[in-house]
Amino acid sequence: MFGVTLAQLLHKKLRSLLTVLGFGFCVNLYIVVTTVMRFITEDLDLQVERFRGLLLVQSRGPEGATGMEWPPISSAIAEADARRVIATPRVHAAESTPVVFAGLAPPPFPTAPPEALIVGLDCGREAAFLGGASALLGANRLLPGDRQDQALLGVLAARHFAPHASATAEVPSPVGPIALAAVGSRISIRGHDFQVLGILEPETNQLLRSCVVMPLPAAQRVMRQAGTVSAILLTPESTRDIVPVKRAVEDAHPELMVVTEQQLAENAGKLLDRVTQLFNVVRWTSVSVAALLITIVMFVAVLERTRELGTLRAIGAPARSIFAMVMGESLLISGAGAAMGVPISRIVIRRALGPDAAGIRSRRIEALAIALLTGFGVVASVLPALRAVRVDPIVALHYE
Amino acid sequence: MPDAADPAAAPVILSARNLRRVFRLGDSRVEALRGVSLDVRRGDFVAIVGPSGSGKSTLLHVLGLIDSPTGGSVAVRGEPSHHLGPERRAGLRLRWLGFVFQSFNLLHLLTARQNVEIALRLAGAPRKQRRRRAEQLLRRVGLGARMGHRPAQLSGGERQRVAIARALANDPAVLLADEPTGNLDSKTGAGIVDLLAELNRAGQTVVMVTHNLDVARRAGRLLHMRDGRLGDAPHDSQDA
Repeated sequence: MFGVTLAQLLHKKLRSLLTVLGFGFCVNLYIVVTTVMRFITEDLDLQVERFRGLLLVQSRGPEGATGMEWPPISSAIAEADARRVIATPRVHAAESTPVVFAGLAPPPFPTAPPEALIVGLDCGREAAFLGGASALLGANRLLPGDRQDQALLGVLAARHFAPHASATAEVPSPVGPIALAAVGSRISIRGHDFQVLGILEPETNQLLRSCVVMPLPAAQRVMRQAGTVSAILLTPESTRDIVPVKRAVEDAHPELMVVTEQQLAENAGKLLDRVTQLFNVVRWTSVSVAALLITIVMFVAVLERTRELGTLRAIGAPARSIFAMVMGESLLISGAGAAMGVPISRIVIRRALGPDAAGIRSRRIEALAIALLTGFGVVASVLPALRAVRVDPIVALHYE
Repeated sequence: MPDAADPAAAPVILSARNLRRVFRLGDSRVEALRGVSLDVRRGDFVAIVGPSGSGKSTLLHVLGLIDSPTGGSVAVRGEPSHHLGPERRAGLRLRWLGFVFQSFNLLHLLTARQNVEIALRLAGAPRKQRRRRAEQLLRRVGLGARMGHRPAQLSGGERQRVAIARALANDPAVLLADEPTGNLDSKTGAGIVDLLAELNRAGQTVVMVTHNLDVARRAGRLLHMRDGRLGDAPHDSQDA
């Protein structure tokens, strides 16, 4: 019966093609959304992991009150207060720094930090933010001293500034060569001139890929917020000091809140829950649309072929053969749609996430999408197939 | 092969007893079959003639297990069918009965050979055997050179020949033909009847329904259907 199924599909070329395209779009949507969800989850985990053992101090502003904003761009603390906080006993002052966070470009996807994020901090204390991140090109630390026109760029930020940089460098990436602002080149940030000292290794997290690390005064000058910082990164002397330091800071500065690694993880979890709910709606909508599409198309196909189905029944076709014929057609459409949706999703993911697409593509997600949507497509064909089985053989003769 | 010495001694392979078929059309009730009984023996060539609306096609459908009688029973090769479910009846149709329809009822997307093969495929024949048998049957009905053509590329007579080849695919006990010449011109129709007669001479049992007495006269046994009742018809009848 495969020959009949194939002949039917080829006969209705346009309809078959549109159905396959529609199904492929749903498969693509499912894969893209699931992949981005996984990427966001893993990235937030990495970000939380990066700040293990650190305390983040921010103001109790409208966003800061919940601690949900990440990074706390809208938080504002007087720099003098920040210096006093760093002087709190049991704080490792040499690995703590006030920070200015400021967005220069919109985030590439929900929950992501801005694609280019100013991170102004004390020179020599970059490790509080960068940890052990190494350099892809050039340096991974700012030059000591008073030089203000220096910046370290995450790979996304380097790509963001490339079009206007005085020089660019091409580096290989999973999406092909990408142009970055070259090490040593000059870039302009809101009218201020900076020299790129280094590009940070991209295998980190979204926050570090987006950052534009610069001296604190330079960030304050660019953002015109002299004397104010966004947050404070505190490194307690030991893990036993986390709770006492938090208590001491919050007691001395009631207007500030101290976010621990655990709270950061909880906040990340809440953020993820919101996004996951939205993404799940999209994912299950794509599954439902695929199933509905198959149901409608197969119902129409069965109705169109009443005479042929009746003829087959009249010459003795068993119900299982008719059932298998309709299910086989549905399986072919679903399979072709999946075969089309998977490569499209790879292209979409590359285009959406750019260099971040490195290692994101998951065969497991693709296999799951194919299995799930094809499965739903096949199940959705059961009703049309049962309808086909119920065609009375006498119908074939009534058409005469 | 028909028993030339004593046709009545050949075994009955299709029998009907007291068949009744009532259709309800809204409030009205139409009795299409009113107690029809019939025995078809191996090697018979039976023609059932009658005017339009006499119930002859309904009888063929009931005999072919496509339709169920309101009363009475049909037995194929001695196996009563009235207690059988749709799948078992489909199985009997596939194995023992071959159908030729007035409008050919070929699958228009398939070639002549594929149309014949499909009956074999349904019966579970292996691919090579299907192909060989389909080609053999198409050559037998004179379509050896048209096997790769689709129904739309064939004339009416050729289509009916394909339908006959399909009906013969599983070597049926009885070939049931419903107005096989109804959609054909007289010359082409005569060719189809010649083919049916030739098949019968080779041993194929044929039951044919027609309103054309000239066609019916080619059969060895002529039955007349009128108002849902079946009776013998004289060979010199002028009007079906």
